Amino acid sequence: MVSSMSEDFLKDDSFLVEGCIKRDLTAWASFVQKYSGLIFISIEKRLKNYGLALPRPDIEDIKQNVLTLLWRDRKLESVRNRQNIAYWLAIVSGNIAIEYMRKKRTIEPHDPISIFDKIGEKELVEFIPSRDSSPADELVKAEISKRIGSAIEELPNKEKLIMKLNILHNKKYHEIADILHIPKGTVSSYIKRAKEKLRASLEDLK
Amino acid sequence: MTGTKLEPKIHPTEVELSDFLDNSLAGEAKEKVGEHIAGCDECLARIVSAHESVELLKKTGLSKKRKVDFMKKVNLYLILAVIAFSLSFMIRGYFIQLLVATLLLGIKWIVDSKSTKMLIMIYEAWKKGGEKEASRILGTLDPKSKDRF
Repeated sequence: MVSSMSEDFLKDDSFLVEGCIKRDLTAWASFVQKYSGLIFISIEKRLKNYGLALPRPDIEDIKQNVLTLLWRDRKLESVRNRQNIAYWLAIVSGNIAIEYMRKKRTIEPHDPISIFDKIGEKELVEFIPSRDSSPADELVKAEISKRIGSAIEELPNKEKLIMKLNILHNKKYHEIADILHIPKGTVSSYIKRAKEKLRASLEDLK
Repeated sequence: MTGTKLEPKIHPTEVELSDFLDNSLAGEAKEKVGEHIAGCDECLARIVSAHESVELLKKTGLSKKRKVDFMKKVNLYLILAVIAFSLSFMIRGYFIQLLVATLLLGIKWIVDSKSTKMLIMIYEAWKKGGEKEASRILGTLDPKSKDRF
């Protein structure tokens, strides 16, 4: 059952998208039926990234707003890869959700979870060169988090991106490999190299 | 804020970000987006949320599940309306009250239904696009759809 649903979800969307662009209401009804779930989840996940957990009726409201904008502004015309619109739709839904919340002044511009907030939650010990400098108190922990955050920003782009996915978004190696379309082994070696650099940048804490 | 300081002024478009995710970008274009999301926490969050949403849906087929939930909700109002209507004949003392309840539940069922929501959306599009847009949309309808809407 689940596999057939997934297969249906992965089916080529070109015909459906073309129909919606031509303002065919039957195609639009199929589009709404097929993608309502994805729009809902995308809104929920994107807002969660901003630390917002909205009740279901509010997410439904935003979902209706997304559908209205897709139809009214003919947004589907801009899609390049019409065979698979899932990623595009998820990004658009998330963006509309953020705009909606900003208009309501629930969130300020540019306040997704930062690396500094997130790194405090991680096990800092692995980055600290000496066993003596255990992050016992909050001040030390905050300082180390800040230092690691800055050190990550100094890394080369690829390592920086992979470390952010790993630390900021808690992504496992295979998930990072899937997002960036690179082998899992490559992710592993990038992380290993980046961690060595981070440890080296914290040498003075010994 | 980490991202704001480093992030270049121009963000990649939604199309560029989704092309990056489904690996349809190559060469310089791919490098450019990769470079941007490495320094921009906001765009990285966009990509990660979209990836998580699509993966979740692939794994669980949630679109159908949610549809079933929705149908259950819609049917619930319809069932309650029918029950209230039947009870209005059985419990004579509350005839009017039960009839009003039937009416309210019926309205709730109609308003919540997908086709009504779609009708409202089409109406809004018509209002925005004016007479010309309305007749153009009507022209694209096949006879079957015209009957339905």
